Amino acid sequence: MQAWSVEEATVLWNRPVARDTWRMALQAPRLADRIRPGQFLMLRLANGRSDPLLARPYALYDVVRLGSTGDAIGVEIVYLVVGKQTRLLTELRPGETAVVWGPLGNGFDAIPPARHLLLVAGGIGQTPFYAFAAERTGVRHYGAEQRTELAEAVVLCYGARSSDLLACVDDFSRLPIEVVLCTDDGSAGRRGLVTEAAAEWLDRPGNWVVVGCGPEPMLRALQQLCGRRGVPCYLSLEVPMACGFGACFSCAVPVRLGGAVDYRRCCLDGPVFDASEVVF
Amino acid sequence: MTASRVDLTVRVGPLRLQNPILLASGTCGYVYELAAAVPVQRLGGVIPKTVTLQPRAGNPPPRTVETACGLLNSIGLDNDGIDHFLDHHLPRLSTLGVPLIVNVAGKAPEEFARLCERIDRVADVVAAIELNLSCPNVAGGIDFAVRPELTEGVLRRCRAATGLPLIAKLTPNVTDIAAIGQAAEQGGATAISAINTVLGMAVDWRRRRPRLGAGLGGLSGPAIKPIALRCVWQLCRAVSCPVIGIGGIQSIDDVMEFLVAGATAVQIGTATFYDPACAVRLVDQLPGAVAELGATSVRDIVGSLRFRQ
Ligand SMILES: Cc1cc2nc3c(=O)[nH]c(=O)nc-3n(C[C@H](O)[C@H](O)[C@H](O)COP(=O)(O)OP(=O)(O)OC[C@H]3O[C@@H](n4cnc5c(N)ncnc54)[C@H](O)[C@@H]3O)c2cc1C
Ligand SMILES: Cc1cc2nc3c(=O)[nH]c(=O)nc-3n(C[C@H](O)[C@H](O)[C@H](O)COP(=O)(O)O)c2cc1C
Repeated sequence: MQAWSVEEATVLWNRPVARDTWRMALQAPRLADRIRPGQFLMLRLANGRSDPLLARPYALYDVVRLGSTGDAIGVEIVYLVVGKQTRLLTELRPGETAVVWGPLGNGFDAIPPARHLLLVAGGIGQTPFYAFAAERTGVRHYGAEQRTELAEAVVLCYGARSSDLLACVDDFSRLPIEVVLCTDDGSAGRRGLVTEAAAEWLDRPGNWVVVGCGPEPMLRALQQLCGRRGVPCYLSLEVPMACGFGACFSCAVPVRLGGAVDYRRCCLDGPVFDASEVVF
Repeated sequence: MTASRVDLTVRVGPLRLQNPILLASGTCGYVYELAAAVPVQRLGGVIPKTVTLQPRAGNPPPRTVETACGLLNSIGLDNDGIDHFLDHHLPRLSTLGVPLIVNVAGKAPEEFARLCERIDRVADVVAAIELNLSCPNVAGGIDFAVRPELTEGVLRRCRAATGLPLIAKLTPNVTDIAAIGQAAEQGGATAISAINTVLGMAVDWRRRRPRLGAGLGGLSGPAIKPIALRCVWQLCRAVSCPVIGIGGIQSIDDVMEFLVAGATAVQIGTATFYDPACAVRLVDQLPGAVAELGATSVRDIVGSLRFRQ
């Protein structure tokens, strides 16, 4: 069991970046020092309220570093406003506090080093990919250990319903990666499903490893696509969680292990799973 | 009275606990998960998830739904069975440096007794057994704690199977919890813990479906505290064994309310999910609150509730 900790975190900034999508930085040095790409944190509003009662999980988007020294002082998350807590999150002002705990989950360290990485994001599922792509291209590093297995090529296929929902595209575009945008209505990038774009990239030569994060139909399509082609595929799953640290057994994910189906805790054994094990 | 001189120790039958703050079953996993961040050895005791004789996969997701000031769950006793518990979890649990209370559930009185026998063989690392007589989430399982004679029957079988202290955990989903408590005591319970979750439901009207995978679930959290306090008070008047209070506890005021109402100790449940260090903080705050009543010991305030004449 990896060490995690609880911190009262001060909001550094919190601003809209796309339709219903906000980007927030929280000062939380203990978390920032250790969290790795693909891991997540739990966030609870600190004002002692009982509704919403529970914390919510958010992926690490990026770590905030202090200018010259480069010390990790905070974390950034990017969130889509969908319900009770995310609506209240938009009201947090710099200087106000929230309680956070982490780092949680296995993160993308569960994925072996890959020469050619194809990242497939649907909607808000893009959030864990910035840190991952930045690290595997050698642009940034996260956590105590300096990892060095760089990828030769990283491609991000990022799909959303329409252009106004695409968030943080500038960040991705500044990385030495290929960014392929897709929208359902053709308002930005190619018109069509992100999985179609992904399938075309897999036709190109390379030792592809596919990593997906997004809505369930997209993940299921990726699982099938990669299964048919015998391409290694990993999925970062979003399931409701009550605690995030393994105590409640709510975030059960059905997995196939040696023929039998059993549940695994998404928060401890995931959120990143080998797609061939996940039962949708 | 100064807070630094307050005696926090309590007795649950032959069991002496360094303080009355315990972690409730099913809300602290197998404890090691929480121990990675929180000093659980400072607590009075911990109670891992219910163990059954055979492995159980648990209920289909979604297994929890948040409600106003509460949480509905239908985990369904997801666990790998007693063999795995003894081989895999117990060695780890016994190194945590905190009294361990093992919570068990069976589909029949014989199953409860067999579980108690197995745990009795490792009695050197187990402080007590809590009998989950009342899990509302298990289809086909009998809810023993809804009928006094069934409750007493399970207790008698277990009492014969082990010398360890037995804590009977009761459900609030009954007409007369005092009668169930008396039956448990009659059957040989060392103590009674109450309450388990309150049977509830959540509906997604747009899809015309229940929100929980299992349909019904158990409500916990701040929303159920008044029900829990009422049950604890009724039990304390009806039995002479210690009562352990559970239900919606998240603050030191909540702890004090249960103690004054008659609870010898309390268990922290859902609060651990949304405030992982809650129980340990309550241990820190307890001496000050006890001192505020002019008492020198937690034991002096237990059951000191007064009704206006
Ligand atoms: C590991 C992990 C990482 C995540 N990272 C991010 C992220 O970086 N950015 C982001 O915006 N969101 C992320 N999420 C999803 C986020 O946790 C939910 O959107 C959030 O809990 C919604 O809270 P709410 O109170 O606003 O909504 P609620 O009022 O609780 O629910 C509103 C609606 O959202 C649904 N819902 C609730 N929780 C989830 C969930 N976990 N997954 C899918 N649907 C849900 C509910 O069923 C309901 O229909 C992540 C989830 C996980 C498990
Ligand atoms: C997710 C969840 C799982 C639970 N699992 C168990 C269990 O396995 N065995 C048990 O005896 N009680 C179980 N309970 C009940 C709690 O131990 C406790 O009795 C109840 O939640 C009320 O306390 P609270 O309001 O502080 O949570 C569970 C409760 C929750 C919320």
